[in-house]
Amino acid sequence: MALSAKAAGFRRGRSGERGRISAGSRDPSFRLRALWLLAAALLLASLIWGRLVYWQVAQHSKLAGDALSQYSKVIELPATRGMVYDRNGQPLAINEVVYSVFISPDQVPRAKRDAVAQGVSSATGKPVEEIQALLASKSKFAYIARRQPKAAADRLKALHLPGVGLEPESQRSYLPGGSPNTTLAANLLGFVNHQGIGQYGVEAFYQQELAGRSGSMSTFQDLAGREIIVGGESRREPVQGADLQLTIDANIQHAVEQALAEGVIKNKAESGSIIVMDPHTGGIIAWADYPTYNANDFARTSVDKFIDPIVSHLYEPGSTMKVVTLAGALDNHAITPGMTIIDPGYITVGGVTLHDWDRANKGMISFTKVLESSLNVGAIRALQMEGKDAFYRNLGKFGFATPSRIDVAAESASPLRSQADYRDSEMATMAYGQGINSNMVQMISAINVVPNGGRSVQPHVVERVGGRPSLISQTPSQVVVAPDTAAQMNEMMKAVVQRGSGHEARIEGFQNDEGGKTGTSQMPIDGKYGLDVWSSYVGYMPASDPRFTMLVVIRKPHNESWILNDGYIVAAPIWKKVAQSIVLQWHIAPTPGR
Amino acid sequence: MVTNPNIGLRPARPRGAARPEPAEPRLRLPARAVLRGQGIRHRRRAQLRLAPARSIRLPFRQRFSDFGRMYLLIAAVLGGVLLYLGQAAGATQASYEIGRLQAQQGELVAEQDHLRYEEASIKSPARIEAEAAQTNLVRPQPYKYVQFQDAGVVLDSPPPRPPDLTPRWERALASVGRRVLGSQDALAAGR
Repeated sequence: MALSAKAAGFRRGRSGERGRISAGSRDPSFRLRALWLLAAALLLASLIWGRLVYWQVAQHSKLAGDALSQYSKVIELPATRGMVYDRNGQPLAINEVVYSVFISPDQVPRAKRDAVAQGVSSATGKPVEEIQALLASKSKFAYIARRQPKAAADRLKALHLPGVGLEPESQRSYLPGGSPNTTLAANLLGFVNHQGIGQYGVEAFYQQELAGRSGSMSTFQDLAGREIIVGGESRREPVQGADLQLTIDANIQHAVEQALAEGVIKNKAESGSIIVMDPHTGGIIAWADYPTYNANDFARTSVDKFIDPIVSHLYEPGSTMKVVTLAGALDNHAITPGMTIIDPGYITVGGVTLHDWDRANKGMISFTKVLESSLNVGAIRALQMEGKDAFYRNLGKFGFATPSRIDVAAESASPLRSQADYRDSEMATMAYGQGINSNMVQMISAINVVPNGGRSVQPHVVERVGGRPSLISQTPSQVVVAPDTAAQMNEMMKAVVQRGSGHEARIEGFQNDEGGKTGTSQMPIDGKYGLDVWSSYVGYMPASDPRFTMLVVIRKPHNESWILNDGYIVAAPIWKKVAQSIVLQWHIAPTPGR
Repeated sequence: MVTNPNIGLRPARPRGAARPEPAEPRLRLPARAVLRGQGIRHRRRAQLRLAPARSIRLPFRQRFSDFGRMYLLIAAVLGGVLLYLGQAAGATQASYEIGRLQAQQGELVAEQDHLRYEEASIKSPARIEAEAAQTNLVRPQPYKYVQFQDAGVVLDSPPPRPPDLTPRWERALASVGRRVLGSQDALAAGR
C-alpha cells in the first residue's frame, strides 16, 4: 500500500495527516498516471464483473439446474393398490411386501465370502456355489433372489452379512384355492405383474380404479443421498387405489373349485368351468375353471392358463339353447307347453335331415316333453311355428347378439350374422344350440331370464368400488319375455328335473322345486362335428324362489362310452354337488308342500 | 461507572503546538459544582465531581466508537450465522430422524400387510378345510331334511297340557302360598 501510495504521488502533508494530496498532485503527469491506473483497475474489474455476469446471468439457469440436480431429488410416492374382497368381506387379493436380495461382491471381504455365501444360501435356499461364484466375480451389484417372503428377509437381516442388501417390493397375494397349487378364483381375479399392472380378469378390468395415482415429492438430499427435509419441498399426495367388493362368496367359490376339479378328473375331461349367478341381481357368486393356476406364482405359469374359458372362449351351448327357443316361441304365442306335435325322430330342413339325439320315433309329444327329453325335432318345430324372424329377434333379446358386458377383462363374443346370411338348416340347428357361438356368461344370462320372471339382469362381478355401488351393478333389468311366459318355462324346466334328463341333478328335499336343462353339443373340428363334446347343465333352485342359477360346462369328457359323455351324466352330478354345498352354506330350506 | 470511552481521552497534541484552550466540558455538571468553580481562582480537582453514571443518558451513536459498532455488527452477524447453522443442523438431524421413522413406518406397514395376509389365509376355506380334515371333521353327506308337519290350531279344543314336572314339594309350597297370599302370581313372580 505504501509503495503504491508513493507511486501515485501521495505524500504526507506538513500537518502530518495521512491521505492529504500535496500540491504535486496537480502535476499533469501525475494525473495521467492516476487515470491510467484507474483505467487499468476498471479494466481488470470489468473483466471480473463480466465473468461474473456470464456465470450468474447468462449461465444462471444451467448452473442452477446442475446444482438442483445435485442436492434435490424427486421421490415417487406410490399409491397403494386397492384390495379385493368377497361379498362377506373376506380378502381375496392382498398387498404384501416382498424382498429382493442383492449383493455387492466388492464390499464383501475375501475372508468372509464363505460365511456370506452360507448365510445367504440358508436364508434364500439358493445354492452356495452359485453365490460363491457371484462373490468371486468382479461385478458391483447382482440380485441373488427376487421377491423373497418376509420370513426369508428377516432371517437374512438377523445375520448382518456385509455387502448383502434387501430391496422391498410390493406384491399381490391371493388365497389358496380349491385344488392343490392353485389360488382362489385365479381366472376371475387375474393377477398383478411385477410392474404393478393388473393382468386378466378383474385386476385388468379395474386396473385404473385399483391402481390409484402415484404422487411425488421433490426434496433435498445430502451427499449420502439421505433425504433432508427443510420445509421447501413440493408434494403431490398419491390417490390411493379403491377397494373392490365382489359379489363372489369365497366359501362357495372354494366348494365350486373342488367339485369342478373332481368332476373334470373323474370324467377324464380336458377342462371345465362353472359359473353361479344371483338370478335377481346378476351378481356372480362363483366363477371357477379347471385347470387353473397359482396367481402367486404367475411368472412360472404357462400363458394359456391365464385365459379364462368362461368369458374368453366361445362354445356351442347345445340343448340348453332349447330353453331360449321354446321361451321365445311361448312368448310369441306360437306354442303352449301342452301343445302337441308329431316327432318321428328326424326332420328335414333346407334339404338337410336333422335328428333327435336317439333318432327314435316319439310319436305325438307335447312341448313340455320336448324339453324334458331334449328333442331336437321339437325345438325345430317351435322355431318353424314362430317363424325365423321372431326366432332371430329372440336371440337378440336373450343377449346373443352382443357381448354380455360383464366387468371381467377379455370377453369374447361372436355377434350374430345378418338374418339373411343364415341358411334355413343353420337356423334350425341354432334352435337346439348347434351352429351358434356364445360364451358362458351370455348363456347363463339368457337362461336366467326364466328364474328372474322374464327379465334379464346385467351380469357383474364387482358390487362396490371404493365403497360406492359399481356402475355396472346399477344397470337396470330389461324385459325379455312376459312373466307368464317365464312362469310357463319355469314349470317346463322343473319337469326336466322331475321327469326328464335332469334327474341326475335332483337334490333331496328340492326334487320338485328346482329347474334345469341338460346340454351336449358336438365340437366342430375342421368344419365337421366330431365325437368330442361340450357337456353342460344349467339350472336354478329353489324354483319357487330362486337363490342361484348355475351353469356347468365340461369340455371333452372322455368316458368309456360316447353316451357317457352326455351333459346329464357328466355335468349334472357336478351341478348337484355344488348346489348341495350352496344349500348347506346358505341354509336354504325346502319350501313346505313343494 | 463511566461507559463513554471518550471520557478521559484527549487527542495527541503535536509538538510545539500551542496548548489548546480548554474545551467547554460537555458533561453537564451539577449546579453546585459550577458555582464553586466560579468563585475560586485555583481549581481544585476534587471539586469537579462527575455525575453518577446512571444519570448519563447518551444517544446510541455516542456510546460506541466506530470500531465498537463494527465489532457489534460482526458479532451480530456471527451470532445470526451460528443461529442459522444451529437451526439448519437441527433440521437436518430432525430430517434424518424423520427418514428413519418413515423407514420404520414402512417396515411396520409391511408387517401389517403380512399379518393381514396371514389372517386372510388362516380364514380361507382351504385352510379351514385342511384344519378340519386333520381333526377328522367331514361334511355331513348325505344330509336329510325333516319335513315340517303343520298340524294347524283348533281354538275350540285346548291343546293337551304337558305333564307338570315341578317337584311335589314346590307344588305344595305353591298351594300354601296361594292360600296365604291369595295370589297365583306369588311364586311365579319369584321365578
